[in-house]
Amino acid sequence: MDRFRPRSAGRHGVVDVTAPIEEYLDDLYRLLRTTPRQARRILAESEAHLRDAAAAGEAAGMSLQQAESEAVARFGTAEEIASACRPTLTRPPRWADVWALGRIGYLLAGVGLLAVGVSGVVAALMTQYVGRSFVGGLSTTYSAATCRHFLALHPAAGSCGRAAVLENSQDAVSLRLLAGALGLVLLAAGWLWRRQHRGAPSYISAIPSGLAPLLATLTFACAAAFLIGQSIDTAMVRGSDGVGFYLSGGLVAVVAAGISAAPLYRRYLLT
Amino acid sequence: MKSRHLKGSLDLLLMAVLRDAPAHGYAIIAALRDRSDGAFDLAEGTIYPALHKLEDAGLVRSSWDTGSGRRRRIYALTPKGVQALATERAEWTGFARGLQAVTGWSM
Repeated sequence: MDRFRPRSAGRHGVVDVTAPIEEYLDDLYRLLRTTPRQARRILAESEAHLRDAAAAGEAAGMSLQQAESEAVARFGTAEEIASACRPTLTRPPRWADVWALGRIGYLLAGVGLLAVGVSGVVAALMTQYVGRSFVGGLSTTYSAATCRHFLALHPAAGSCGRAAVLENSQDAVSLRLLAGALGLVLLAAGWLWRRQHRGAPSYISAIPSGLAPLLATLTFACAAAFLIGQSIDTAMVRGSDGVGFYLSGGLVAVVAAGISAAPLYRRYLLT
Repeated sequence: MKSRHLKGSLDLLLMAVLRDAPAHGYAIIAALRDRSDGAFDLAEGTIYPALHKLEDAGLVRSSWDTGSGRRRRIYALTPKGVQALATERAEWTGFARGLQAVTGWSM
């Protein structure tokens, strides 16, 4: 079966894309808009058929290149085969796209909330090791009623400003951790749902698979730019007070943007 | 052969080939071409979606076979497919007889 092996394997074992059958199967893969199971089956059957046809061509005296080209030409265009597969769908492709977008939105919401939760952990560490004012010393004017509320919550603070710092630093941790817990619940529910529906027919939508990491990268990058900008602005105006409130979120957003960008880098820049 | 005629009859042709013995796609195409003396020379890949639809309808069944070294999907007619083929045959015979009587063409 040596003659059916790709003739050359490049870096990372990448198949020689100049082989007509390989190119054809790549085209067909890109065009198929059907269930994953049917897509795998069509690809497997198409490859077996094309290899048989190429082997017959070689047996008849053609070169491998000629035999593969002839087999591909006789098989029909990838568009034709992909189009013939579409009527077997039981749900319009538009629904598949809406569904895919909904899943991306759900995933981003879960990951975003989880990132907020992680920023709460960073804020807690900053509070612990840098000081409460670094996180809770926000530049805000409080009403008398709010001051009374803060002092009621923190009677030992002694002043409205000190009580506000304590309250803000606590909120920066507890509320963010709450958001993170909600994000974890969302992601766990999504994972369980997906696990329960594993094997059920699903649909390949026209939404590119790189959209989720792209949106996540852009969202986190924008959040990082805003929060770090706020940190710098706060530092220039007020010194260290309140810088940690923004910086804790900004640092997490930078890391999250990097993690989100990694699959895009691997997919589009390394190939 | 005009492709519209061929496409309209593809299900019938596929079932007719499978009536004799189970076969994989490449063998089905070869049988279609040989039995029609090359007249039924369609884009080979189009038979797979058609076979899948027949399978969805319960007229054929299939399973993977790796006996010859390469993984191939073998298709076979089901009892429901045998019955459907007999019905199609009766309808086609009647249709062909009527067409011949009206046009006077010999077949």
